[in-house]
Amino acid sequence: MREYILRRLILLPFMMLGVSLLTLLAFRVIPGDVVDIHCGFQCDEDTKRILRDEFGLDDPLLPTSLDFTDPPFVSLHQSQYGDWVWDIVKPELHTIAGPIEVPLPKLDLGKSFRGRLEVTTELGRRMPITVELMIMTLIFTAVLGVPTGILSAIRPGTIYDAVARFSTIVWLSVPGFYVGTLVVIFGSKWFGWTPPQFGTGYTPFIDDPLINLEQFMIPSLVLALGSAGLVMRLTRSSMLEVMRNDYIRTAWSKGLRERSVVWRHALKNALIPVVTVLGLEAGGLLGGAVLIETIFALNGVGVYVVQAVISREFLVVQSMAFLFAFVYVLTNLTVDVVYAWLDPRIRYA
Amino acid sequence: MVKEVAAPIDVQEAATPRPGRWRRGAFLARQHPLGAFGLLCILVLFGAGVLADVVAPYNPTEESRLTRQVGILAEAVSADDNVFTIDQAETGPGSTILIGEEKVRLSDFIHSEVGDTLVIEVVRGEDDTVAVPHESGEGFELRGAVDQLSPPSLSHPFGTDRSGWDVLSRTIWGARISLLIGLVSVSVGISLGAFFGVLSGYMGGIVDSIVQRFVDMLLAFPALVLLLAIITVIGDEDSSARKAIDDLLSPILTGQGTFWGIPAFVDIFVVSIGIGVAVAVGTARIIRGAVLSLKENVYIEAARSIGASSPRIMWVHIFPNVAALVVVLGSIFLPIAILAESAISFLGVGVPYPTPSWGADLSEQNRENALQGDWWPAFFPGLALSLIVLGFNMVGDAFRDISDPRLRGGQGSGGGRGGVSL
Repeated sequence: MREYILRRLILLPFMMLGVSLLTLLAFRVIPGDVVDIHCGFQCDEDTKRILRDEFGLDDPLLPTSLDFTDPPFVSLHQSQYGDWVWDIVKPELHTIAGPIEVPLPKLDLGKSFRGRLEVTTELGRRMPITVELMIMTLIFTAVLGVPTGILSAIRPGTIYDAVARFSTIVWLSVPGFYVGTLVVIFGSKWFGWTPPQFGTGYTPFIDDPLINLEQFMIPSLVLALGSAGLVMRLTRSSMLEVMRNDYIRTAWSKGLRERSVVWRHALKNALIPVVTVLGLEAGGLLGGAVLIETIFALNGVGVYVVQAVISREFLVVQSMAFLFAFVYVLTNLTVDVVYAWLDPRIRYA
Repeated sequence: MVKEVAAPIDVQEAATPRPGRWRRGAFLARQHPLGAFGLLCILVLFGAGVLADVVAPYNPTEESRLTRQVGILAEAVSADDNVFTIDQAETGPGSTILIGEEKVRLSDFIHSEVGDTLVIEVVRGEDDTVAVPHESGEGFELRGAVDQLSPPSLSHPFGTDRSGWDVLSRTIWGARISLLIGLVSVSVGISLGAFFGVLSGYMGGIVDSIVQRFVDMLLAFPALVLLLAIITVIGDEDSSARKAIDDLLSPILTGQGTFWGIPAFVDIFVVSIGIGVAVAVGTARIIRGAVLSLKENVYIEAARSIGASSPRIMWVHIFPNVAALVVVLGSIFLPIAILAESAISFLGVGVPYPTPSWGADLSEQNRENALQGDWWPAFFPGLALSLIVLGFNMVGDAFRDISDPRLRGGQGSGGGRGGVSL
């Protein structure tokens, strides 16, 4: 197990580099210089040259030669990609608690062409919004999905089961961005309600928990519906599967009460696949978050990356790819670890 | 106490000889009403899409115009009269007036307003003569202003949007676009995915590693972001991929890049290819897994031992065995592809304005109108989109129940939504 985790963690930086390099290459295949795209006819040749120089666009894409003897690794980072990576990993002294200085990576992801905004600063501003949206969505997913699934499985064929199954298939099918649109439209039409984010900016939870929850309640509920449907159906099927096992029959024949059979014997085993899916959904939700952030005017990471792709800010997209790879590998790893922890029969070679 | 009740054996089914196809269909529909409902949704929506040019009451990108009474003729008008005096005039001229049943183009009028009275003088052209004399007090209708954002009515069951386009017609044409994008992208996606999946699974070694690491990298992107990036890269006006697609499609396109009544088809094809690549990424993984276990079979070893080449084994022995899985994956990915198209059109990157698309009709402008109370342009296309996805999920559920009676009621790993969370 330890070896498995280690192997995956060693793979992580390569994955991050690979994904960002892939993005860079894909975006640079498009003909037309970035400067031409962003500056167009307004700039004369001199301005364009200055701009290219500023963003290092004259350098080759990849390092042409590798010379590790040179102390500051000049040869390594005299290329667009090498330079970008170098700015991320370059050790820099950070002051921690008074006089203690620790060398840490600089984590400079570059800046956007339009507005010259530091990607790292932008991320720092937008990340809390998306992370909070994700967390609340996951909570709603679990709260809506798991109990309904359990109830549905221990009362199969009842009216409750039918209603729950029908409503979850609807949750699952109706796209989140349509539900979001309807909530915004009819919320304002019938209740005079508009998403609070429209008026004020993002309020951190520590500043004012009430306003913060008001801002995130509805968007995360809307986003959670789809995955809650999925989780409910999964809980139900896995629960039904478990309830057919011999040890459940044994528990019944021992004369245990239903509560005990369901909670102590069945649920633990039934939740294994559910936890896996919850973990995987966490990664997949980011796609849905893009749309929900757009509808509810939340200025999160999703909106940021979409705008960057559309306006060809390849440096931003490349940085985001770098980050996505990190999240992707770590979520998958966490899911694997949790899986093995829940089910001791699972071994990773 | 939970009782395990065995599924009742259907006596009638067992006793009578195998019923005809229709009887059997009707029986299944009674057993699985949700599945039948889902099938109905799919058939109606896709049927409407296929027959869009017949069914749609209006052209989806043609302004509907308004006809309403704006005043009353103050004086009787004879057939050769040039001057109309109209009482209680509400608005100025648009482009056509209706006096009684008769249409006269208003652009050919010179008008002046005196208080409540609108005096207009006809400049007679060849066609616009006032043929019939008109009584005073007759209704005077002004036709011409674009019928923007009119609520659902008999002439426009789903209302009109901000450009005066009929929402019903746009929804119907949107079905055709969705159907087309779904079919193209899924065929591209599962073919690519099956190719690389079989290759990677059977060859193993370095080929497998390269393909799988590549798939890994693509999977690291949130599906939607990956899609956007692919479409941005291959859809660029100057990119060589775009030019190749242009050349590829030119034989089937008619005037201004129209195909099957859809303008700017190349853009739509680019979107399909993008979705196809994203579908291929998921398919390749699954097919590879299936091939890994398939290739351990004795008949593969037998084939190899009599000297069959790898391409032959892959094509003759491996592929037919995963074909069924490929088809199932295709049916799972179809609604996902349709959803994906809507999502990126919603973000303004997919199907170009003004081509009707369910996703694009949910986008910003319509949502802003909706916030002011005009909800219909966004509501109906979204409803159609939801119904088609719902239809596929319900049919999928019913199909699972029918094919595996042990699972009493939708217990698959979750209604065919695969990897895309939207």
